[in-house]
Amino acid sequence: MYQVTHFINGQLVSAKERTLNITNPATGDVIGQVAMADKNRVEQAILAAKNAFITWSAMTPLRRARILFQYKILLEKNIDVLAKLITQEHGKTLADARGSVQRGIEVVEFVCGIPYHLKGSYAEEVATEVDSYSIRQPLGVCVGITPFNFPAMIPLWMFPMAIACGNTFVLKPSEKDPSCSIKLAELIKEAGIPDGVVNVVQGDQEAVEVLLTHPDVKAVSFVGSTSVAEKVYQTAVTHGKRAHKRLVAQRIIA
Amino acid sequence: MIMPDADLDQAVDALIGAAYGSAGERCMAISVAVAVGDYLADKLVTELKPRVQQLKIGPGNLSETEMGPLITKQHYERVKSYVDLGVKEGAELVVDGRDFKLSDYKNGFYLGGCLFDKVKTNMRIYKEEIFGPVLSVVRVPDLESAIKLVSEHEYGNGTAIFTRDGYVSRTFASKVQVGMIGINVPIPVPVAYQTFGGWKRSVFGDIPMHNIDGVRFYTKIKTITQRWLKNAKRETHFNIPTHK
Repeated sequence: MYQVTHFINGQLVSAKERTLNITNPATGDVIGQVAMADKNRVEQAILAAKNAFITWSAMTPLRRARILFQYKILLEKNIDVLAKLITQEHGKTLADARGSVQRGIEVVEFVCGIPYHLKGSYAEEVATEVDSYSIRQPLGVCVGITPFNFPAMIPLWMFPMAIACGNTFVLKPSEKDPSCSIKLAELIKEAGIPDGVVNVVQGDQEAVEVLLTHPDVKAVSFVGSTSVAEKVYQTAVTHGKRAHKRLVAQRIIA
Repeated sequence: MIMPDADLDQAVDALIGAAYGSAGERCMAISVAVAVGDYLADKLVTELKPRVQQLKIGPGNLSETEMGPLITKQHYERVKSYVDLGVKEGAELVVDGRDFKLSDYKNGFYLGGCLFDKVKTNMRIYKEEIFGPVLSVVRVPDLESAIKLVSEHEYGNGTAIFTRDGYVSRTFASKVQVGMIGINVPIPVPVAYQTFGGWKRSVFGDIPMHNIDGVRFYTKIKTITQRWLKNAKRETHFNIPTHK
């Protein structure tokens, strides 16, 4: 029996909280417990991400990319560890699980080229002796809410791209197979990411509600069922308008 | 979608893997096989049937396992109830996996592979996402009706066509109202340097994932207009700048 908890500001955080059982679907046995974040816990993660954004967004894209290179190497070294966690909590075969991690690593490989992708454009002489140029800047704290079917791949589709762009991140993985999320966070810490850039909160509806309505959250990515996606999208967008903040929403069904 | 000229063996292999891999718990799993023409449909179902019956189901950590359990007891019950519903709706249940049991893992959430034939577009098992090891065969007379059928579904995440005909596959890829298309590729999940994104009710929001779209989603663009003056004469403009 093991405990899965939150990863906030570079540390595993645990306290007396509501928990849910983690079940191995192959045996039906309860194999662990996952903590459920309350409002305060989620706010703590958002604050950690908000604070980390100041220095992380100022780090040059090339230096951010070097950390992501390191992360790619560590993910490859740990592919079997991640696959085992996926199989144990999701039930899919080890070979399938390994393949899904590989599809996640591909995104890390892509974002290692982030200095190129962040380049803006420059137009000389838009008027006499006047030039115009565009640059891309990060948003701030971004949130990812991910489904049970790909507990490593879909988080890897989201936070490496977000942080490569200079954002910081709070991940809320599925409560059904949460162990991968902690391993992914520990490995990126090992790769050299500053504390607070990637945070993980375990939770359910209560945590999601805070993530979608908090004024410091600038973008939400969600993958899940259509009915939930629609609600999540509407809640997030509505709160963006109320707060007059830019809130971008990206939704794909799983 | 399987055309009459497709390499049937390859199509069957592809369908089995894409419908039952990960117990169908993938957003890009194949949940419906659209067979063009009854002759092809009969052959397809005949070939699929033993393959579904012979799926090696078991714990994911055993190397011989092809398909593992469903994620939870609740989801197992939900998928099973869709199979009950399909029977009630009048679809032909060719392979019934509802009674599947593994004696060594009695409490695991294993559902046997299920195969429906003659599924109609007004059935809930066609319209809704089952997210389990259930494949429905729908029969259509020709290419045009197949494109129409796929396009009229409220979801539009992924679709695939199996054919040897370049013109047919090109027409399908060009016309069909779906975001991600496979041509003789059953699960066309785009790589990180292409764009991942479904259409219609498979997506909410404007910017898809991966590639430069991912960069666009996670950044805001700022445009700066600048001039550096040397010995400029003083002047004030009250009209909109027209960039002379």
